[in-house]
Amino acid sequence: MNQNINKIKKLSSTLRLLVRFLIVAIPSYYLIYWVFINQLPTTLISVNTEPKMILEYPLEVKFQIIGFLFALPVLLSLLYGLVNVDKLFIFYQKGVVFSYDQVRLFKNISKALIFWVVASTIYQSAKSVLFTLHNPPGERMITIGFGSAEVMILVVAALAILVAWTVEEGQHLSEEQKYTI
Amino acid sequence: MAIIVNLDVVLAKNKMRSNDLAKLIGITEQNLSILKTGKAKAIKLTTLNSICKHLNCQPGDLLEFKED
Repeated sequence: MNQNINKIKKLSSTLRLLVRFLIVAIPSYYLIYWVFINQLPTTLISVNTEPKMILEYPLEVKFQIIGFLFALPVLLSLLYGLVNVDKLFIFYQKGVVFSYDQVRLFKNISKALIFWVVASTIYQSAKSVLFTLHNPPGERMITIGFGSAEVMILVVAALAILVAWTVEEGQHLSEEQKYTI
Repeated sequence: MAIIVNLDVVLAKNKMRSNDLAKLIGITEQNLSILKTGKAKAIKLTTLNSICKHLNCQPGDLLEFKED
């Protein structure tokens, strides 16, 4: 039992570092992406070939801002999810494995994932419009995508809800044991 | 809960302090306090046995049922 708690504490500390890095890196990525969208190539590694740019026709600043605004819900849901994961790891670092606060955190993570799927689908569609805005008539398009990645995230969200319920039950048992004299 | 723990009454009748009883039955004073204040969700038969033994009483003297 104690050995497991020690493992949980150790792994949580490491994972918290990763989560905190992502909390800084993800907003930076989105910001850099939309600020430098006109200069970004489709791939950073290009050997013996001219780098192919993401955009064929450069976007004006106002469209870059609109693009970033569409990215905001995605970004915020991701950050909300990560902040909740970080809080969860703080509990694990302290060796607390069953508490009502953790149930709430798991539910929040699940909500963040569902919202992320919705926001992400809208964002991808908005991107398709913005990226083809300056194309000649007939070549502009709007795409709406819902693929296996989105389904996978929804499955993870369902799992998070299931974990929340399990932790809630565990919390009841833990409390009962705590108050059994 | 409908079950009321009358441990404090029995303790007073026996003129015994809570911390002395806690030491005698081998539980912490904190746990005895949980029992006295009615926060306890369950009591082990072994604990009940020890309390009855040291307070020279019956389980019925300690526990009472009252309709909520």
